[in-house]
Amino acid sequence: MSLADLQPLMLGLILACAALLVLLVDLVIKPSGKPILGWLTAAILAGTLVASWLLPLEGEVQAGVWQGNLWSTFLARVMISAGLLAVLGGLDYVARVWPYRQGEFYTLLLFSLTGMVLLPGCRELAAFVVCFELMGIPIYVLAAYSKNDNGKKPPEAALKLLLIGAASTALTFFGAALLVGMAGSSRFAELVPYEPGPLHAVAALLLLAGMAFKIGVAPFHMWVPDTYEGSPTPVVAFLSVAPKVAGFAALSSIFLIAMPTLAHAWRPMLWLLVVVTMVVGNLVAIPQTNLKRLMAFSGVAQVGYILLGFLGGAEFGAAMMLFYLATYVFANIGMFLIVHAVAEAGEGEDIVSLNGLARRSPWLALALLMFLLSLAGIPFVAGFWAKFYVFTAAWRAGHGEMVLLGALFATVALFYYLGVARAAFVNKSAIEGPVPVKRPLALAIVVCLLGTVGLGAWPNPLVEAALAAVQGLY
Amino acid sequence: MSMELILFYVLGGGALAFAAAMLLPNVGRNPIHSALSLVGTLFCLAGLYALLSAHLLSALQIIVYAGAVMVLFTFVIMLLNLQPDEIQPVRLTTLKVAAGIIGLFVFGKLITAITLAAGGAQSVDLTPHSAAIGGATWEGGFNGYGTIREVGRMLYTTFLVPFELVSVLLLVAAVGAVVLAKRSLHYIDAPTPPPAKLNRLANKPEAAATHDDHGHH
Amino acid sequence: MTAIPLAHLLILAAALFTLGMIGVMTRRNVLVMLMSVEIMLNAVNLTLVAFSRYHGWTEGHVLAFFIIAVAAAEAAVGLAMVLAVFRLKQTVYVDELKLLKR
Repeated sequence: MSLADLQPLMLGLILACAALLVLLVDLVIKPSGKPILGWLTAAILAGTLVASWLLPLEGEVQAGVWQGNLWSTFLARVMISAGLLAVLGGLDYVARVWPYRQGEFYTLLLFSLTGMVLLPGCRELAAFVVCFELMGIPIYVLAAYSKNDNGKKPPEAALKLLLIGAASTALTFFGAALLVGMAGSSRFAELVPYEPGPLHAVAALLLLAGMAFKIGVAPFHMWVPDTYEGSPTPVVAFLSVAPKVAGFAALSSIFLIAMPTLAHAWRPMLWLLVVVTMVVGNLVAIPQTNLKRLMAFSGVAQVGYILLGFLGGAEFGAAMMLFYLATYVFANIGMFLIVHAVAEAGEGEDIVSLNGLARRSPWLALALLMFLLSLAGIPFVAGFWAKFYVFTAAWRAGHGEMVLLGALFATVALFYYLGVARAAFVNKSAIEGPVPVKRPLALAIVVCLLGTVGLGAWPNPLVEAALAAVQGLY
Repeated sequence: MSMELILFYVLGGGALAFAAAMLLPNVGRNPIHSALSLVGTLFCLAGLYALLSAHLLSALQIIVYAGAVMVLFTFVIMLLNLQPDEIQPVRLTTLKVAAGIIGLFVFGKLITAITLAAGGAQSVDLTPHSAAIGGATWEGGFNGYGTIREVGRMLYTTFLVPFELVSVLLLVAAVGAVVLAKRSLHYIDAPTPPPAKLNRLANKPEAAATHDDHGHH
Repeated sequence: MTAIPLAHLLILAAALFTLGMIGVMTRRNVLVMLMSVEIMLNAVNLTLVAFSRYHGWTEGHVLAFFIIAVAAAEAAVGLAMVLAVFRLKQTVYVDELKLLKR
């Protein structure tokens, strides 16, 4: 094996080397110069994103242990974009709040991205296990990063994330171990025989339950609101999308590649999960007053819609799931960054803290409105097409009842999304003057806004890219 | 009953008993007792691995798990200086009942599926070959199965990429643990002025930072 | 020479896994919860080793090796986080940490 054989892994390798570079630069740099680490990370992420178009990333590593193709590259781009936006959005915050822990912050974020970027290409269990954990462990630490804010936010939420994450990982691994053991091979393609038995079905359900915890599917979502509320907002912006994208990639690569013959066992379960997720996510979101908790439950509900694409199955459904994830990255990170900007101005993280935003900072309010419309699925922003295509996929797969349910709950969701908009546009606030937004944060919000509006106006290029990407899955 | 079977029941029963002891409210009241029970489980499992000719794993189980990981656990228990919980009457909360039901449900499902599969009713037919376990006639014959040589060969060939990623994972764990557990950053990160006794360090933030932030790398 | 039936080994692994799962759900001491997770991961390893022996398949050992590494990393980060929480709250009990809000 030579270095050239590792070519398809290049994006992951670049990110891992970047993480080590940041760790080393952190060693030699003066404390006053540490904010440069954030810019360095952002530059590397932007460079990696560009490199994903320039480098040849197709091919197999080690006889199919890892497969690089349009599927893995598409997902890598989405995840790297999410990382880049979160880094830009949190740049000033990280430099101000944790001046002496910036190096480790970016190192851990880059390592987590390494795991995520490598996850979609895994076609074998050992690689999958390691990438899965490489993604998860840094996120536990990042979620606990505010440990020393004078006891304001002790990392209890992160501890909850870790305990539930570790237990769900064990659940996933146990299911996987049973499947792998019965197959006598750790390759996904050989995991389930043509005529699976009862133990296969139980193992698949264990695996599904473990993954459901990770992506925050109800009723396995109990860590989501606490973790979102308790963790630093720039971290939440990252962990509310990137691990979800990776989780869906993992779900697809296991369930769509390895278990088509087991569909009779996991499809009804998945169907039930989608229903519960939509109902719980949307209904519990309504009474929330804390913006981050609201976004947490809205995120649970969104996972329901994304799973709808997955349930739609086949190539079209999986492609529309990718499209949904891409639009979700922009809208959700944008939302969290605006919450972050408002909280940074000292207004707090409740819905009422958005009061009078339209008068104070019209552009910020406009961006907020666009993100909300996108999340709610109103024409003609990105989220509308995402919902439309996911519904189409579910309809084509014969899940008409799901389309009905999804449409019903999309109307329910309007209720709380517009409640947030009303705070910004209708309610009045005693505070005058614009909300100060630091330049990198503004840049990140603008990118999210452009993404949301742009994909709403021209969804086709991304839809075609997603359809092409799914070819790599099979 | 053969020697293997007796050893299996002894070790398996031991592993289960130790694991259950961890859960019992009265035995597991003191965290150090829980840790010792866990060590017991780990040792029993190491014995089982040896019985199943997983030589390397058996050694790793004792060195890494019962050794390193458990020392970490006991170290933290000692560091926190935890006292045993006060003896309380065992209360059956809804949560515990629910946990019990979920646990029994999963276990029941697993048992049924395993016995069904072992009954040969479905495609995973476990019975015909199960005689080979513990015997000398497993498929492929003896090819250094379970030895350091064989496992090592696989680690450095087929599984080279995940193996290298494990090194990254361990680095992440080290960096993460240091970031989380380090006490000295408390005053550095605090937005308020540092306490008086730390003024010496606070006046020289660079020196303090160099010492506190970088000593560990 | 009688053999150990594979089903027995799998049932043992399933029982260990269930015990670990119940431990995570019922115990209130964070340290013991982490130990329960370790038991769950050990059940995974036992499954892999049992099947490896059944198939004469060393890959199972390699997978178990990776899972041991993962478990060690998880334990290190988990224990560090327990330390960090303990410093602020002086407790390792989840009820007192209000981890189960709503």
